[in-house]
Amino acid sequence: MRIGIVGVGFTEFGIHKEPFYNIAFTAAKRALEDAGIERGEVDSFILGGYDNLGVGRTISNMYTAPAAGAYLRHEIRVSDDALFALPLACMRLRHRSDVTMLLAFGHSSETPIELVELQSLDPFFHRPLNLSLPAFFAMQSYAYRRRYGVDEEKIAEVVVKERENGSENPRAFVRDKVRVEDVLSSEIVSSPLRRLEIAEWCDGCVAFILAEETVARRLTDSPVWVSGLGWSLENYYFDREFQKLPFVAKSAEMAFKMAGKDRGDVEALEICDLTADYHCMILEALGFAEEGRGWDYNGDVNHSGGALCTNAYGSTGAFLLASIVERIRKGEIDCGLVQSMSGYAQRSCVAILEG
Amino acid sequence: MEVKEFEIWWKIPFKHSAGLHATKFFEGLKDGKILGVRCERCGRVLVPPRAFCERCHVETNDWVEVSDEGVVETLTVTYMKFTGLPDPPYAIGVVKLDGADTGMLCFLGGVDLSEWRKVHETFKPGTRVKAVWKEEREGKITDILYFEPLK
Ligand SMILES: [Zn+2]
Repeated sequence: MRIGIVGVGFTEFGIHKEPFYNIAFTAAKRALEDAGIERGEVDSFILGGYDNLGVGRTISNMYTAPAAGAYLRHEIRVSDDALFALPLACMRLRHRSDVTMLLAFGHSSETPIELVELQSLDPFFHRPLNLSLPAFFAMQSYAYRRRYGVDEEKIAEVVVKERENGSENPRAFVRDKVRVEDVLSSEIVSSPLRRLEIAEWCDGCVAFILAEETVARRLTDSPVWVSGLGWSLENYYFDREFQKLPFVAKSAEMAFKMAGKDRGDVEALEICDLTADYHCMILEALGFAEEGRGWDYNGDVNHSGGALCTNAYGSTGAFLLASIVERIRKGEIDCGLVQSMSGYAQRSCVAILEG
Repeated sequence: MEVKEFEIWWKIPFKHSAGLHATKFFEGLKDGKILGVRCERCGRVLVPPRAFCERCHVETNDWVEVSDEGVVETLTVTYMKFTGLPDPPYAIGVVKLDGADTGMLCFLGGVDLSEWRKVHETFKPGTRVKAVWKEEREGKITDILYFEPLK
């Protein structure tokens, strides 16, 4: 049995004045409209996004249940970047759901996310050292650049390319082009990472309607099939090689195995480049570039502008997924791969989609 | 119409149990000692200590003292002010102590932090560093003020 995406609903990705659940409602309505179905035809609701203090409510993802239309219905939540909710949506569809909604919410503009993420660290060994998310990302960037002798210019060129892509994507949050010299003269946030090399936070929601094969074919002529899924976890403590992302590699292996495909089948990638260095490191871990050479990859990657242009805390992975889905629907590509990650670079999820 | 905003602060007290392993580690810090545990399966010495080895999924009870000197694995100097975080600059690194098989998160210091390239040169990976201890120790990770380059 195949599982297809038959509807997508985007909201604007930006800084929203409305609370996240009202934004989520808009995404849900648009997805239903796009699939051409009524809310009553959805028999299962999967809610993705963080349930931490990012929006200042515990179990905050619960607020999106009514927004999805899940009143008195079967709903279940995945507290992580919303791409991690896709495996659960597919599992539901394999077990007695005909039509499932995956609603992803992302919201960052109500509090300093760095302070929220710091609370995810243990209070004994790590939190007292004030390891902010950008500081952790920077330690990986430094290890990466030093280990492989990667010039700052090469990293800056990644940002320039991502910004060019973002400038052509009307859905992207950051849409200004930059030059290499702009990147290299932007201020150091945490060395060696500069402001323009780090994804900026925003808000935004995306919803998807998924259906099992028979229903999917009835609802649309162009379902986008979820062919492969994989996810993996890094350790909590710091016994790692900082220049690598082995958990990303594991998540990709799992997805490729399930899809029965190899790298050559994938025509486009959308990856969660929370920093320009992660852009390179992810490409390497996914097996699309040699170790230390991710900056040199000139394949079709992050046509949307990637996380570097649109990073809504909790729905970034869903934004990337929706970007691939749209391109497959338009017939631009037949097969694409989406990757997302979360935490202090601790968890990765990969999905392989095809038309 | 201007959308109304409500300013809310969270202030919730917790009393976190550190557990026996972390307690023993923190008691060690009071005496100026850094303790780790050896995993009997893989033989790695884990610092800070933990009740089980996540790679082998076995309990760890073989205590060993490690050195307060080691080598830098990676580092960063933060220059941006984040709400609720200290005023910059401050340097954070991961140091693998002599006798340990895992890196430990720590502050780096004892040098001028104003120019990041100089700091990275001073503490580049492989640089030997030594702990600078607080005079009055209270059994917390911050009893180690920072690691500085070994003279
Ligand atoms: Zn072990």
